[in-house]
Amino acid sequence: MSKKVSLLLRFKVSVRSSVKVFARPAYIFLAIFGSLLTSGLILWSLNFDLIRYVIVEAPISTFQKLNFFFDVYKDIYTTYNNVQNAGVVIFSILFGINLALLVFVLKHRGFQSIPKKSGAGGFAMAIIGGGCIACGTSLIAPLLATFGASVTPLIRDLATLFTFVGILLITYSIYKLGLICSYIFASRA
Amino acid sequence: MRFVIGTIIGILIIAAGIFIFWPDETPATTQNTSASTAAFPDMPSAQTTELIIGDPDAKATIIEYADYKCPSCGEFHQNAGKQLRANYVDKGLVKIIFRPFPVYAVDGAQALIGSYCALDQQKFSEYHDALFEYMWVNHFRAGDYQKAIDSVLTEKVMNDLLGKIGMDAKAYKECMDSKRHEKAYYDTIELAAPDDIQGTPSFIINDQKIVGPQPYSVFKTLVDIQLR
Repeated sequence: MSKKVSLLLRFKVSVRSSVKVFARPAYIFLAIFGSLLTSGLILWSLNFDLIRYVIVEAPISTFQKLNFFFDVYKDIYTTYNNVQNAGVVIFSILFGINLALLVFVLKHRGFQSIPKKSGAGGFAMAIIGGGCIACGTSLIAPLLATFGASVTPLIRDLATLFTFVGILLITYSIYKLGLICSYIFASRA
Repeated sequence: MRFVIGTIIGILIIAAGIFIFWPDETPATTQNTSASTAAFPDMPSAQTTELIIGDPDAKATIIEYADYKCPSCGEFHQNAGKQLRANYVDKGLVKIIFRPFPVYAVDGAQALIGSYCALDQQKFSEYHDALFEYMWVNHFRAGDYQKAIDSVLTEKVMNDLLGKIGMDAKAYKECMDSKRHEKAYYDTIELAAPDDIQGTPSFIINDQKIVGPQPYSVFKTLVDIQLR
């Protein structure tokens, strides 16, 4: 029981400290930037050549290029036609928060204080899971084939699972970073 | 500390530069069929039996690699696909070349081969739409992706669909039994390799590959460039 209370308390402390960090506008902007970058990376993970074409070669105006990206982002954040789409949005927002907290901790404590599970695993999971939403069968099918499996109906279920695991890992990372932030605030006080 | 952060930012900028300016690899398929055949004399015969939706003489072309039983293909068909049809294909500006890319189950592959039999009856476009609509409305819209590998396109279901779009079910069956379009079907699948197609749905517009059921704006941008 005491362990449960302790965990709950630690969670509350972590959340409060994280909220404190976001009292500074710079970290809010960083979190938004991180979220946009992450959702873009996930959804464009198999279309980097296309992005390069639009940015560098496409014979369209800068305004049209900006409009192209704006439309895609608008679509990501306004269309929730299935669990996976919602998963990508949730993960991207969490990753933005994680990035902002990471920078805060780095700024005040340096690299040695960073917890080992600070998001890389979660990001890999979400790239695979989220990429499947954006890319149909193109991402997981070749991966499964590499391991000798034929294409299965589980592709979309696997994608959802990967995204879910990614969300769990990134949430754990935020929790740990929030705790470190609380130590930083305590030592300052 | 500042040195470390500066180094990381420097590496990221260099990586971004390499990514953006690295020479692009365009798909082997070109939009002009005759030019394509001339450039690749060993091209399969599928070049002459393409499954086309829209005006064959339309200025712009979208090449679509898909499977009727692929949920993401259904998603594309319901969203960007329908918008493209209304705004470009139905106006004679764009044609869609549908290339079968079997991913899911035997009945799915049979339905793809059946596309050529539908073409024999001048009903390919209707057949294509009916199959995507059937899979979406009855299975994928509710999230039942298991049906992608279950054998759901039974003879009864197919006959119902064929009847709805005014196709002769008997002629369709004869065509399927004769297997006369299997060469065209397998030849078309071979076109996917030089185009570096890994899964469905994948598209080629103006020599640019698009992977996945991307939003309408992605297709619109590339089609508009091609229409200039």
